[in-house]
Amino acid sequence: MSNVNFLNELSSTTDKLVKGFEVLNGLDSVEIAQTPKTEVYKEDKLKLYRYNRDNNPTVKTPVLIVYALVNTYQMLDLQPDRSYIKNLLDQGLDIYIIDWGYPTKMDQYLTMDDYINGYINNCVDFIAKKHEIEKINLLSICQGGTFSLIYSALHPQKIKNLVTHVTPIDFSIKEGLLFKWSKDMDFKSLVDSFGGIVPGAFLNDGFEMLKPMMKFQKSNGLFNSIDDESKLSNFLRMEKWINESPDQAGACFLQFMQDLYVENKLIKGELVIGDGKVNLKNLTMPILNIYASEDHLVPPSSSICLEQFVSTKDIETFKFQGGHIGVFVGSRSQKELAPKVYNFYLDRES
Amino acid sequence: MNNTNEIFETLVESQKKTIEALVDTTSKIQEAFKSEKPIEKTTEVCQDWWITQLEMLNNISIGAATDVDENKESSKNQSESFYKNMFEKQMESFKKASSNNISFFNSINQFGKKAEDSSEQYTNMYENWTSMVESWTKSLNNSYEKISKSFPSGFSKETLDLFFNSSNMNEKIQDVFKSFLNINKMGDFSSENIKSMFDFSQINKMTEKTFNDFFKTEGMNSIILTNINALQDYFQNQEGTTKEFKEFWSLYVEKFPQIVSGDFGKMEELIENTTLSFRELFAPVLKLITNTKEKENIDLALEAIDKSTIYGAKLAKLQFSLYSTGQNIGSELNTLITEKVKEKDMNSFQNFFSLWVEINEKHYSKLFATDEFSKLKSELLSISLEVKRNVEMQFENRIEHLPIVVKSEMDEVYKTIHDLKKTIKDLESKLKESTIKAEPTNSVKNSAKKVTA
Repeated sequence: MSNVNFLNELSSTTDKLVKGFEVLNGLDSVEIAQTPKTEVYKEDKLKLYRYNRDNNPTVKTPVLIVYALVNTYQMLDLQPDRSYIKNLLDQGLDIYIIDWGYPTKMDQYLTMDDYINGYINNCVDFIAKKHEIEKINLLSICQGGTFSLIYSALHPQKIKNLVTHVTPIDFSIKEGLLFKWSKDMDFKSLVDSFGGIVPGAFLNDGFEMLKPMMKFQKSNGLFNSIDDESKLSNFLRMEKWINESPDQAGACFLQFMQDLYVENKLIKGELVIGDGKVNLKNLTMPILNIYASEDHLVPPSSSICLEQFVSTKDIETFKFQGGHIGVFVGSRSQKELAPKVYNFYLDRES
Repeated sequence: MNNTNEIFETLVESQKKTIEALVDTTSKIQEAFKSEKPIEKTTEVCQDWWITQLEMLNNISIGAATDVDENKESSKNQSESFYKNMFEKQMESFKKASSNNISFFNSINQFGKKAEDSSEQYTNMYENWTSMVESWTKSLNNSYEKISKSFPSGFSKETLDLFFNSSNMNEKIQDVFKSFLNINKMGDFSSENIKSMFDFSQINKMTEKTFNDFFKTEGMNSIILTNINALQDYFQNQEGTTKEFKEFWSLYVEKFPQIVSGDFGKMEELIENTTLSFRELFAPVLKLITNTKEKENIDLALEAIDKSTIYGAKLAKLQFSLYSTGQNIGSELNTLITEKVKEKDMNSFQNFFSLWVEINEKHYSKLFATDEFSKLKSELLSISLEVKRNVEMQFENRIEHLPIVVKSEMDEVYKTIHDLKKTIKDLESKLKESTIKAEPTNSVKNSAKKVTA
């Protein structure tokens, strides 16, 4: 490489840094989850929202979105031009979403039973009653997908169609550092030591280590976009979402990690939630199971096995080319995934 | 945003011109070297550059200094300190650039006299130049640190901090990259030569920066020292035990100086070669103390020291694996860069950065996926959390006699509230179900009405 090239690069770097300062200094606050919605139900820290529509939905059965407890649902509505929620709304769905809120010490004893047979069940009942129907549609993401599978297996009479995204089902897989590291961890000690509430920041640090160089690639990405207001705003939206990760209720976290990540009880048919044993064979409703081919958090092999364990014959496993988050925020997902999900519900609406 | 600060504009513009002049001059010099009259040509080029630089320096020196003073009086802008700082830092860089110019100028004057002299001058010039680049990069980082302080709290500030940190990391990578640049002047791209250009201590520093959390030992050191101090304070204040404690302590320090050395490497060696336990060692002395909260705390302090020591030893192991991986990465980078230089496929720092990330990702992912790393990391986490709990218990014991509700008591209250809430929800649900069952259906109601009628 000639020195001239290097000096040129140095020169453009200076320009970028200076412009970056100007852009950063001029930015207003960064907002996410801007699609209008209305709070319709509240229980403890949970809020149930219904997204506002200007016209009637073309799929009448309402859809309840169940997001993971880790991070927030706002990732589905990160930026206006790439909002999965807005896209599904525009397609014609009537959408409700659970906002789990931010657990505090007070919530440390909440179990998976409280979340699944309590909160999710109450939201489902609320929506069903409001619409005067017996069954509603579920749409779920990651850990929310696992919760939805468990819920649907325990209450199959209440769910018409189930869509899961990037959902861990088989926890015994060899791929994925998260799955490997979990086997060596003492989660009981971890929860106790954190005083019953596992900090979101602690989990984020762990997630970051799953791709050792991710933070540097991210820094470099920021550097390359720091002089472009639009790109910088999008970068900041993602950062805001990551940094606002909620803490985890210890009892639920412990059960999820121990029973699933360590002991893989779900597919073994050994998982007990409340008074009931979870039997995936109870899943008789139509299922669309979406996984991401480059997912390092939930490797494809953990998701695609679902059809082996359910009774329904109406199940489709859909591969999306991308990563765990790219499924929802990538430009291609807006073009491909939202219509795919909409049509799945529409085709089964009769 | 339009920036209206004239000082800022002047500095940015001047800086840009300086770099452009550097780029332009370097190209001209390279051309001059190839020309028929290299001495005359290069001298001419350097003289031009020297004059331009001086003019630029003088203009900034007079103009910007005046503006800073005026600005100080007329504006309360928080960013003013940033501009001034940046100005000062830039001045340092310009001065470096000036001295570089002199060296450059001299080297050209020497050209053609003696091969060795020219070579030496050229080397000096090159070193000055890389030193200037380094100084300039650091000055930018310093400037950004200053901006960060003048920013209001909030999300943008956090992002700026993130950027600033990444910029620091970038600086570390630049250090390695600089070594690569040096091979240009050597003209010998053999693997051995390139390897010798890399400073492995820099690679270690980069490893530390990359996995910062695994290299922070101040916390555990502080816990060890605090607990040792607590032990000393306790025993020295107790009648009848001072002598025993001192004897034990002297014996301990004499036999195991590694423990108080603060050197985790030495601790690892110690742990591996002995079955040492601070707690066991002090057991005879503990028998002299009556059963009180104080005794419990002393026991906890001993446990904290033991656990912190083990943590240190295990952390040293983990650090060693990270360092080793870092060194392997350095070696692979050497080989790849050699190939890329030969193929003229290394055109920018960004190229280098991408390569660096790719190789690091590959090696560290492999390390992280090993059983040994997974177990070690998990053990470290568990021990550190046990120490955290230990410290909290000591704290609770100390404030127990005060009229303050402690964490364990609050946890009991939270548990009771949770259980009560659950009971209420269950009862509400049962009540709802029994109400529905008890309510007659419409048809039953209608037939009842008919009967009554």
